[in-house]
Amino acid sequence: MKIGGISGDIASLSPRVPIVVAGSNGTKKSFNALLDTGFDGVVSISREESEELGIRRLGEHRSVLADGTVRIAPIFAGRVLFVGEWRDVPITTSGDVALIGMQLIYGSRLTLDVFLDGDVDSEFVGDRRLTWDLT
Amino acid sequence: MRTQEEMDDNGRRALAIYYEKIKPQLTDDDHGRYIAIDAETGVWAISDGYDVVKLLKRKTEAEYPFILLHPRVSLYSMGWAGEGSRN
Repeated sequence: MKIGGISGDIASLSPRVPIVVAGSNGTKKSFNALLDTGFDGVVSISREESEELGIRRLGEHRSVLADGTVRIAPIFAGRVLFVGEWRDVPITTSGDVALIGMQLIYGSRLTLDVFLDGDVDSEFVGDRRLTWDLT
Repeated sequence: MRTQEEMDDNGRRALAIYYEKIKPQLTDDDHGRYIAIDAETGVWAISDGYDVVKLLKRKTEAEYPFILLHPRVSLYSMGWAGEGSRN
């Protein structure tokens, strides 16, 4: 099934998938998230957006960025609407672009039609989806 | 909003506790497990998932638990730093 599309122009193509993040205060925010196979986490949004949404803070953690930079950042317990399903997920923060990482798409077979306005398709393979106990 | 300096300081103290007190106690069976540390008290917990925060808070009222993945320490790589390559 189609879950997103290829955005941008030839010089800046990126696979994008719509998600909705729900905050603890009932606020919801939609993102056209970058499907980032180089991100081995779950979901990342900007720190400012995490504050706006009021999502519950779990703690803090360390990430390694692509250039080797180490960064300490907060991590939150949030709810994300992804492919028609609300899931409780850990959410971290990074730059301005919302990211979907490998853990969120775990258990999926992805197909990217890599051309202008191409589709991003996904189907679950078996029942391998990850869940997180964030209580 | 908690400042970056406060988070960096929390991370430094938590990692010192990890390297000095926790890591020497762990075994090969603990590879890939999650550890949550309260840098204020030195109290820590270990589990197979994010419920490690809940386990830590049963032991102490940690306001800013520091969560890491043993033994790579970083919870995430962003932009394919690659596990084991840079952390």
